[in-house]
Order: sequence, then C-alpha cells, then structure tokens
Amino acid sequence: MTANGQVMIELDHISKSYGRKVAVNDISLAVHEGELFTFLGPNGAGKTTTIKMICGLLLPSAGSIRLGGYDVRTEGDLARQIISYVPDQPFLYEKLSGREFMEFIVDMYGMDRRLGKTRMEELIEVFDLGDFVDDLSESYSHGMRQRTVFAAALLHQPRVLIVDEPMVGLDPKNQRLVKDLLRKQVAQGVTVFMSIHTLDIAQELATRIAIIDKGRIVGMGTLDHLRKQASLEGPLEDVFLKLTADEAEAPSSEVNGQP
Amino acid sequence: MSDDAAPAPRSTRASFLRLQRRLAWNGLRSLMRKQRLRFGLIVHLGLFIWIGLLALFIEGFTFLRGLDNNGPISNDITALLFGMFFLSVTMLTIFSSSLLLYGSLFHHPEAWFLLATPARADRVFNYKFRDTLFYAGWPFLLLGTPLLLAYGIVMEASWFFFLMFPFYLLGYLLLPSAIGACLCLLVVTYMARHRKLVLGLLIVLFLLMLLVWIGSAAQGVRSDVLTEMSERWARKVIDHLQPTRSTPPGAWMTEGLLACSQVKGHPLEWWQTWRQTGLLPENFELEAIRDGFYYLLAVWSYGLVGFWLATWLARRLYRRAFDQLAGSGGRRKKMSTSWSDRLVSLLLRYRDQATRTFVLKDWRSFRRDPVQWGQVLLLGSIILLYLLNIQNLPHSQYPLNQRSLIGLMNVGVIGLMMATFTSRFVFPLMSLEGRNFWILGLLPIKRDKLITNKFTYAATFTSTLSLGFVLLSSTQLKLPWSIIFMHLAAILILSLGLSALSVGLGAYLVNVKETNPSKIATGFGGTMNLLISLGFALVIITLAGLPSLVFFADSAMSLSENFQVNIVWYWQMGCLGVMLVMGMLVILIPLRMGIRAFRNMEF
Repeated sequence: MTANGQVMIELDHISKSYGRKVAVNDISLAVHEGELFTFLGPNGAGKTTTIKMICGLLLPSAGSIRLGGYDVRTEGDLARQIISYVPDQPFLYEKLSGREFMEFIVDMYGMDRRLGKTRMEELIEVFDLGDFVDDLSESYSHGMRQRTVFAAALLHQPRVLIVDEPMVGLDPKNQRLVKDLLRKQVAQGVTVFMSIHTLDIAQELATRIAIIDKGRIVGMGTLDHLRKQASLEGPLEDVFLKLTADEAEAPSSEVNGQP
Repeated sequence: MSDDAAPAPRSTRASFLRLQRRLAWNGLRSLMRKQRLRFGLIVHLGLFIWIGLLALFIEGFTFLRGLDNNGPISNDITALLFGMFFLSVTMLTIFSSSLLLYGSLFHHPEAWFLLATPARADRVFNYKFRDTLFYAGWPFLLLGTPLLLAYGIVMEASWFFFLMFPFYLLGYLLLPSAIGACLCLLVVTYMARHRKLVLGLLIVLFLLMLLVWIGSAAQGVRSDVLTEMSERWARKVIDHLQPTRSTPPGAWMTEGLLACSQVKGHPLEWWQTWRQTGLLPENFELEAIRDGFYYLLAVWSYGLVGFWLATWLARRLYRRAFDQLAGSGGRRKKMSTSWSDRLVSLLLRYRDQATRTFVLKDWRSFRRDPVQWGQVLLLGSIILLYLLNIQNLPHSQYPLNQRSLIGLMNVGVIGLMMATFTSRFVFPLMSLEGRNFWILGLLPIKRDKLITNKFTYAATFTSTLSLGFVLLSSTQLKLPWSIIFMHLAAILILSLGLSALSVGLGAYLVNVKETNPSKIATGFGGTMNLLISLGFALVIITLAGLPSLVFFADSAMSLSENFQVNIVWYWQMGCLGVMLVMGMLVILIPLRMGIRAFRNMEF
C-alpha cells in the first residue's frame, strides 16, 4: 500500500532521558494517513517509551511531536481526541461490564449518544462480544479483554490508532481477527502505529517498518529498503538481526577506538 | 472516518460522575452477591463499633459534665477534646490523602488509561480527589458522628446543633485533603527523585514535634498526676493543650460547633413571638447563630479555596509530574544479604538448611515490599509506644488485682492484634505463591515440608515479637512470676496456634488467581480465618485470666490463705492444661487440612 496523504504522526528530533539513561535518542519520523507503520526493536530499545510520548503520557526531553497537526505538548487534549491507544496490558474497570465501559468511552470522547449506541452495536458484532459484553469485566479472559479494548478504541473512529504489542496472549483466531481489523482500518484511511515483536506479522501487515535499538532508529522504510540497507536478501527476521547486531557492535568499536 | 477537524472536547465531569456512580453501585451489588459474609461482617461490625463509640462518648461527656456541672472546666475540656480530635484528623487526612492520591494519580493503571484519553488533567484529578475524600473521610465520619451526637445528647444541645453538625463534618475534610493533594503534586513535580526522602523527613519532623509537645505536656503535669484530680491540675493540662484548640481549621470546627450548641429556643417559638410583638424573644441567641454560620462558612470556603488551588495546580502540573515520576527510576539497586537476613538465619538455626533457605525467600519478599512492612511497622510502633508508656503510670500504687488485670488486657491486645496480623500477612502467603506453584511442586522436597516451613517462618516471628512484648509489659507492671508465666504460656500458645491457623487455612482455602495480598486477606478465606483466629484468641485470653480472677474473687471472700493457694494452683494447672490441649488441636488440625489440600493440588 502506498500512503501519500497528510502527515498524521510527526516526530521531530525527539529524545527521552530517564536520569542519566537515554531511552530515546534523537528520533525523527513521519507517518502518513492510511499507513500501517510498524515499530520493531529488541526489549528495552525504546519502543514503548516512544509510543507513550506519542500519546502524551510522557513528555519528550527534547524535540516535538505532532499528531494530525496538533502539538502534543501544547494541544495535547485536542491531539488525544483524534487518537486511540491500545496498550500491551489493556485496562478495563473490573466493576464495569464491557458495554458500560464502551458507554464511558462514548461520553469521554463527546460522541452523540445515538451514534455511539449504533457504533457500539456494530463493534459488539464485529468483535463477537455479544456473549459476555454485559458481564463484569473482572470475569473476562485476556482475549476477551483485548477484544473489548479494541472495540472501545474504535468507537470514536480515531484517525490514528496506536497499538503496543497487540498479539500478546491471543489465540490464532483472535490474532486473525486483529490482523483483519488493522487491515480494514488502514483501508479506511486510518493511520496505524504498531509496536510488535512478531516479525512475521510485521512483514505481513506493515506499509513501512522502523527498527529501533538502544533508543536510535537503525533502519526505516519498506521491507525492500531495509533489505538493501542490511545488504541481504531474506526474511525480515534476518534483516532485523543484522541491523540490530550492527548497532550493538558500533558502540563497542568506538569504545575500543576502532571506527 | 471522521471529519478532518477534530471534534471539540466535551466536558467530562458528568462522565466521571456517572463512572463513579456505576463503579460504586456495581461494586456494592457484586459484594452483596459474591461476598455476602464479608458484606454482613462489614455492616454489623461497623454498626457495633459506631454504637460502642457512641456509648463510650456518652459516658465520657456525662463524666465531664459532672465535674463542675457544665461549668468552665468541663466546657474547656470539651473544647480541648474537640480541638485535639480535629487537629489529629487534619494531620492524618493530609498524610493519608497525599499518599492515596500518589497511588491513584501516578501508580494505578487507570491513570495511564485516563491520561491517554482527551480528558483534561484537572478533570482526572478531580475524579480521583473525590475517591480520596471518600476513603479518607469514612473513618472520620465513623468517629466524628458518635462524638458529636454524644456531645449533643449529654449537653442537651438545641436542634440547631443537630442540624448544623453534619454540614460541618462534610465540609471539614476538604481543606486537609486539598493540602495533601497540593503537597503530593508539588513533591512529585519538583522532587520526584527524592520523594521518599521528603516523605520520610516529613514523618520524622511530625513525630519529633509530637514527641516534644507530649514531652513538655507530660513534664508539666506528671508531678501532679498522683494527687487527686484538682482544679489546679486540670487547669495545667488545659493550658498545655491550649494550642490544639486554637489551630485552624480545627479551631473553626470547635468554635462553630460549641456556638451551635449554645442556641436555645425553637424557630416556631421565635416566629410566634416576632409576629405578636414584632421583636425576637429574649432567649434568641443571635450571636451564637451568627457564629455557627460564620465558622461553617469559614470551614467550607477555605476548603473550597483549597480544592480550587489543588485543581489549578493539577491542571498545570499533573501531566508534568506524571512524566517526572516515570523518568525518575533512580539508580539500579544491587540486592545483597542484609543484617536482617543473617538474623533470620540465626533465629532458625534449629531447622535444617533447606527450611532456612525457604524461610529466607519469604522474608526477602516481605522486607522488599514497603507496603507490607510499613503496616507491620505501624502496628508494632503502636504496641511499643503503649508498652513503653506503661512506666509513666503510677503502677506501684495500684493493688495487685488491678495490675494483673492490666497485664491480662495487654496480653489480650497483643493477642488480638496478632490475630489480625497473621490473617493479614500470613494467611495470603500460600496464595501469593500462586503462579509459582509449579516451582514449589517440582522442588525436590516433600510438599508437606513447604507448609511446615511457612509455619516455622510465621511462628518464629510472631512468638519472638509477642513474647518480647508480653515480658516487657509484665515486668513493667511488676507482676509476680506465677502470673507472668501464665501470660507467657498464653501468648506462646496463641502465636503458634494463630500461625498454624493462618498457614493451614491459607493452604486449604488457597486463592491462586489473586496477586494482591490485601484482597486475599479480605476475601472469603481471609475473613473466615480472621473470625476463627479472633475466637481462638478470646478463648485463650479468658483461660489465661481465669486463675487470677479466681484468686482475687477468693481473696475478696476472705477465705483461708491455705485454701486460696490450693484452689488457685488447681485452677492455674487446669487452665494451662486446657490451653495446651486447645493449642495442640488448633496447631494440628489446620496444618493437617492444609497439608492434605496441598498434597492433592494439581500444578
């Protein structure tokens, strides 16, 4: 898929430090409307920190982030109105049913109640929530929780969908459901920013891929572009390992004085 | 797909109110449906405590009123009592609300969820602030309503007092909670890295101030304590405690409530007099009514200004503070063997290496969880403070029967606290292994041993602490060794029995799904364990006290000395025998039940 529309996510030289530790180091990227942008990286590379900065949960130590043209630091409430964030550990109120949770989301995003109700019914059907949507969510399994959170995230028809590790703990059927959903959203022009560890799924779905390691982007582009950068033909897994291994070697050579 | 222009964010205040209402209602329904026993216990124990407090306060105010027939001394003491009560509530509410808000605004997963929505930071803060008011407020209402009701009843206060005091109580918590909220936001924003140090310093400062104040007050009055209650002595106490009465916002409460209680007459009577004569009746206390409203307005207006200030701060600082805290991870701490680990190993030298290692694992998990040891420290400090304070009382002048009774009550207090302690901390131990059961199940040691190891761990700690406390209190009271022996035997049997109950029932009624120890302790199993533990503690305490009771009853009937010694000895041996049998049963039966359940458990 090609995506030449409006820039929906723009990261301009952002960095984030936790004390002395630099978690994200001078990252710049732009994701366009209708793109499924995948963010890959080893554990602790800075993926989740970047995602949290995009959502406005954390503030960059340097640089700026714009979502749909809104500056996240100064117009955060407006920026968050056009996004939905699905974290790796989905949050639901234990003492609310799935339906009540979705009603809360309808209220929070200022949606028209009637429109909200219609959207809820559609999404309950799409995600097959009918059997349990009126039970308290304390009784839900991980898959049920993830499906409910996805349904709630799509209620207000976000222009940007940010998902962090959406496949963790899902069975093949639910994984398929999420993949189809992401494809459908992209086809409708939604921008999807996804962090994931499963390289096969990234290869299958992504319009563009960014590989982050030790807080820096070590490769970004289509799969073909990344293959060229890594100077090897093969699956994404090989490209990923090559690029992150190169990055791991780089600092040690500098330390040893070997450029 | 939505339009290009972002929809304007609508007010979320109503959404949060609806959310809170739904959460409360669903929570209550769920509690009534799934945890009927716990719900019933909460309601009945709450009512029991409330009625007990009301009776106690009525008795206290009746005594005060009788001092000088509602004269200046009783009025001053009442004002001081109110002042001290409201000052304590203020300090406790500032601390508790700042800690509660710290947890809910910065550490709860809900905060991450809400801050990723378009909800304004101050709206999220307001929503959590309302929760905090509720949690910080209910103990205040539980204590405050019987106190003021008892005062009104005994002092025959007018309708105006009963009408006004609920509004005073409701408004009072706003200001200290708002101060706590501001402190929390400021500390996290500007001192995120040193927040624990700041909190520690504040607590130390508060305790030092309290100690200096108590010390000076005690120094001033101790010389007169042994004399009869004289006006001079009472005046001295009142003078030393005067600052508690004049410190706002408690002072506004005290002055306002006392003014309300002064209002005489009835509005219908005032109305009729005014219609007939065009004048207000002579007993119309305009000044008291004016003061009642004036101080109520002061309480509410300062509270609302505090709330507004906290909201203003939250709007500007909450997201920044959230970011600061997330980025203040601090240096990685290397874990190593501490002096306490060595002490634990030393205490358990009588057991084999595997047991010591197993117990050490539990100890390390416990000491690295500040929530757990913080509660133990609090409970322990209260007991220790009380025991150390015993020496300030003139026990040498008390007869032996009174000292013996005080000693027994000390055993009772420690026993009952131990019952709550083991239910809170020991009962969840087996459930907390939850997801690690496969490790325990595959260990090359007998499963039975896992239970007995937990029992060793719990029994060693509870018996060491409780024996120390009882020995300290009994020697301070200068009790004869025969009574000290009974008390020590009782507390040892209690420590072992309560530990066995909590470990055995903890394994029998295991809840592997729950990871929060508080929730395990307050669930069905935890509640059952608490009830049985309390019952066992009461029986043992009664048995420990029976020989002394017989001795003093016997003395009172002036029977022969020889007869007294014999009968008391028989009673002592009899009670000790029953305690031992009960102790053995309470140790063996639950441990056996737990071991059986654990043997049959599938991993």
